[in-house]
Amino acid sequence: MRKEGEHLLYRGKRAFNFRPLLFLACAFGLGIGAAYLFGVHALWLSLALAAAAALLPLCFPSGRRRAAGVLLLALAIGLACAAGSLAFGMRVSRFEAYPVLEGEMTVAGTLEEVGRTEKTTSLTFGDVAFYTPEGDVVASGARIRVYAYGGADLPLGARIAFDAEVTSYDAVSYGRINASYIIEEVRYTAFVSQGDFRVLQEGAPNLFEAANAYLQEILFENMEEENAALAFALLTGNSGWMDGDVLQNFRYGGIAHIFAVSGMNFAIVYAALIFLCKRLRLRPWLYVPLIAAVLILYAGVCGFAPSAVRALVMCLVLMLMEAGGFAYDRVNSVSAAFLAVLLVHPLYLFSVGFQLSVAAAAGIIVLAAPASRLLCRIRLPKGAADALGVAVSAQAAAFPILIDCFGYTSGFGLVLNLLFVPLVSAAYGVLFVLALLACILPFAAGVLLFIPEYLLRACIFPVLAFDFRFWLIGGFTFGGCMLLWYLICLFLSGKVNLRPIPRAAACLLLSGALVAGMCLTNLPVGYDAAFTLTADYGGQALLVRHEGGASLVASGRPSGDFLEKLCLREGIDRFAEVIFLAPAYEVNAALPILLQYAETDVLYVAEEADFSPALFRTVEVRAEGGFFPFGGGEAAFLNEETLYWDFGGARVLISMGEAPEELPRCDLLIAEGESEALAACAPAPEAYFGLAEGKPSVYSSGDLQIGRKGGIITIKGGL
Amino acid sequence: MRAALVKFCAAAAAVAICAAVALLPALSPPRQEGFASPVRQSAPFDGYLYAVVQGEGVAFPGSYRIARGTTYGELFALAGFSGSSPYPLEEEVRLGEDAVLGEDGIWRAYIVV
Repeated sequence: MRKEGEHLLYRGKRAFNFRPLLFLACAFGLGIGAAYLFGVHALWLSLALAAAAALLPLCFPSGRRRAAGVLLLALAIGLACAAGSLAFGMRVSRFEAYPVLEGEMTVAGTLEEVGRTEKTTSLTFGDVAFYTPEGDVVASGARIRVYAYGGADLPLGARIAFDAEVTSYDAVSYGRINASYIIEEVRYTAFVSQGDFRVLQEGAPNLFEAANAYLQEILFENMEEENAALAFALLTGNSGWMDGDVLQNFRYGGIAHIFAVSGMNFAIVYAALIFLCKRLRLRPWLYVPLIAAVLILYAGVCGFAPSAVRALVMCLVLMLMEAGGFAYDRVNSVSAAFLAVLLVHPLYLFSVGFQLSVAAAAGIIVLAAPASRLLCRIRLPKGAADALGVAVSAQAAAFPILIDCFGYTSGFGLVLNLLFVPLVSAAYGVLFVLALLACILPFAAGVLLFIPEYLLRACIFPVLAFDFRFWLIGGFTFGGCMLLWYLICLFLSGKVNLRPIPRAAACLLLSGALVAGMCLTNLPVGYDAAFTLTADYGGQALLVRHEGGASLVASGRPSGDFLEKLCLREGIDRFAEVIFLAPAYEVNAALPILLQYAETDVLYVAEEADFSPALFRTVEVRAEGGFFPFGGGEAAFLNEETLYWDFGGARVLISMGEAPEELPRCDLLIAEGESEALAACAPAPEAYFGLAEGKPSVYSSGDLQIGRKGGIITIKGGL
Repeated sequence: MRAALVKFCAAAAAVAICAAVALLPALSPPRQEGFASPVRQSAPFDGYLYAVVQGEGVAFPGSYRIARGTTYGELFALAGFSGSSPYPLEEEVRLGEDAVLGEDGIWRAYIVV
């Protein structure tokens, strides 16, 4: 029943509690997003936003004082939005101002970071000078990331020279902004063999690097290698020393986030420190800087990873608010953390780790309480309902980001998180304290690390024992519909104070819009038939679904990561037909990689290719010299790297390498990059995997969808 | 009044610090253009093939421009062929078998009945 004077739509005085910090943080983030889309023109949005906020007093008449407050806030929101746009534009502009270098040259730089991947060691050099074969010397303020085959045991801080084929990273590639490269100022990359490094001058690592190296040494000297790698990953977020298959199983289970140093780690460290300080009856003026210094040191040891920075800021805000006697408000705290991290570097907005951290934290704040209440109503014990509420809300908030960034999420993740995270949190607490003591008392490290070693082993036993690659949710993307998902979450929470009927109506409307939007995003609506072009640094592929199943045309050497992501994102575990447009020896290497992620019925190879079909017993290999049925149409190899494909009447030429001298006329050209040989066929539309100025390319716009309907072929992509 | 002034100064200082933190580390002109590069291109294509039908019992022998997906039955109806067909009437004209791709990129089928 509605009482007299109450609003029709909401209960109480207002629909939601106004929090200036939340609005400022959102305005700053919006400014960054707008600058990404529209460049410097995003400043107009700041003006529009400020004007819209300033008009509010006209819509809701109130006193002069209140109106003055609103005007000031409107100004602040406009300024925050403009600051976000400018900060983004300036950072990107600075990154792009570093000279573009390509080709063989000698490089000299100071070794600043060492990381590990499954097959290589990654070395990041700063203070770099490039010596080109022409005799030019280019000194760049940007850094170079070198991947060394066979490992490389080089001292941090040393001045090192090497010869390498250098390439430059762009700010945006394959439709995604290279946030981590811009944040870390890594403009260049190269692959080098272990023996090619020459140490010019010994150096000393900085405090954080030295602490990280010391911790690593203590762990690896006193624990079994596998356990030490796990402990090091938990403590610092560096999982490079872990076994690749074990780590992948953590990812499949949706619990790899435990290796991102984030809220859980900082909360445990902070709780331990504050407990100690309060037991020692220290005053805030003493313990606040003390704890802050320890937390900053810890974030530094973790390499100031985005999730660590966010958690650090969050902890500092919490500590300052508590020490200053302010009422702690979780929404304000997350807003402050969000704003502070973006002030440090606006590109963090595009970092997946940061997005997941913020989404999970915000999800818990917004959804955990209503979810827990709902679970209590079905007579679940309060403790269990709270734990489940937290897990469900974090999963719900992270779900669209996981799907869009990784292509899948674990359907079993909720249960695993519920069981695994509390166990790992407890093990982490013990590990942190004892590892710290082991660093202080290295002579007793063996004894001190004995308990956490076996605790950790017990914790990861289920991950070693079971394969979590089942019940994976994937095969679709959210795109812009992500916004609708979060709006539904917001309306379902208690943060928007709507009455039940308007709340249900809003949720129903938004759900309808979400379903419609998802269909439009994921189904080839409006076409008779369609296919997708996708690519990243690991490979290039054309994927078409038809009545006979899914067909794939891929470049010569697709990486396992690329193929795995493609299969998981598209929800494919079996290809009816596969073509690798490459020489036979590359096809021979590529097929086993694909078979790790999806079964294959038929592999087509060019008749002229020297390919041995007997090597693959589970795949039927057909050497074709003329036309053969493929992808719902007819196809023919023009050479090993070029395919002619009749796509329902549209003649498509696909070239992933060297094209033959004579090319048939075609209606659509798909190629790796522009070349004179391909220019000869001059079709009306062209689509490229690599960069092609002024033409549709996966490199510039991300995945491209190509469809045909009624004699019209359409290329669609980007926004 | 004094309290309001203090609050205003504190807020202004906070804004100045935030702006300095956000903008000072990269003092260069902001990027002019955004990264949004939406693509939407459409072009017509000629989804036809040319079929030459000849032989006994063909009332109107000659070259026919037929759409993709046309069946042998439909083609023979056009050509006025009424005899016994060696081709499966319900099936589409087969590319790569009966229809061949010319160097000019045009499909041509030569059907002799």
